[in-house]
Amino acid sequence: MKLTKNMRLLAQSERMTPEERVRAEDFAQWLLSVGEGSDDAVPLTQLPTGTFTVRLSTYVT
Amino acid sequence: MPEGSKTIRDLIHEIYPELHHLPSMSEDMIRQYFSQRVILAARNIDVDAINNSILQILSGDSKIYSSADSAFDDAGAVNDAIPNEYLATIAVSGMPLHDTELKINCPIILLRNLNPYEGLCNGTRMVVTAMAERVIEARILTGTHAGKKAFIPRISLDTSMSAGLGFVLRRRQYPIRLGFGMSINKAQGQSLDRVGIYLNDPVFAHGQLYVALSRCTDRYNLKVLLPPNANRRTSNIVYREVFI
Repeated sequence: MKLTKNMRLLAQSERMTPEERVRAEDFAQWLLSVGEGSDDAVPLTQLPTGTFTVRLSTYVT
Repeated sequence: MPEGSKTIRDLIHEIYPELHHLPSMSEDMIRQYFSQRVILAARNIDVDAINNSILQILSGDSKIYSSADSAFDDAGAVNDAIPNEYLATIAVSGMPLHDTELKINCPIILLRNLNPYEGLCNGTRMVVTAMAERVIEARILTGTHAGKKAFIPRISLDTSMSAGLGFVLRRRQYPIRLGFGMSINKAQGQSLDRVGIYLNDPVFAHGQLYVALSRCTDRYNLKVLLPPNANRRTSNIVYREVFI
């Protein structure tokens, strides 16, 4: 058996707009790669685009 | 400071905006405000610093509750040799602080199971609604018992031998800590809309970064504060041997 859905992010996916769903799915995928340690230093710049709301030198959203 | 570089104050304002409006909000609004947000840090020392600086921003008079501390040896005999001044400085994870400073409307987190049937468990987040001499009244923030009020008494808490003190510290204190910020480990299992992560000290245990980042239900409300020269990178600790 395999778990396939991030319920924290996608439990409400039926009620999301297509854009919201893509955003949540991208985030879920990125979290999985963090959990797997896909890189020794996680490049936070690899957060899906459009996530930054402030200047990035020290601060990432 | 280079332009655009952010400090802990910026992180606090991102996660806890408009703290000065709390006194004009209803109890239900305050409960909702705090139930959806938290700042996480890897180390308890950072969590305590964050908690204290946010408490100073909160309006209202604060009250400091000091604990009665005593020391025992393994056999359970009182150990008088250790000065109380030293006992007061001990801060162990899972134990309340000797001096616990509180204000009305500040969030707290329970450190012991007081009454699981009423939703008062280790890790339950609450907001203080009244502070008396010998009891604190608080309202549960989340879960099936959200909104319920409960009284929290002082209880005697002992450190375990694994705390590495060389003796058992018995502290009579409210089994709580401030809940503006909490450690990543304590946050395991929570879901929050708005999460700030303070990573001046990077994570130190397997999977910790994943736990921290995955608490948040929306990536637009996830804020990470890194040291100024970190170049938007932080270390992630994953032992791949554990994946078979």
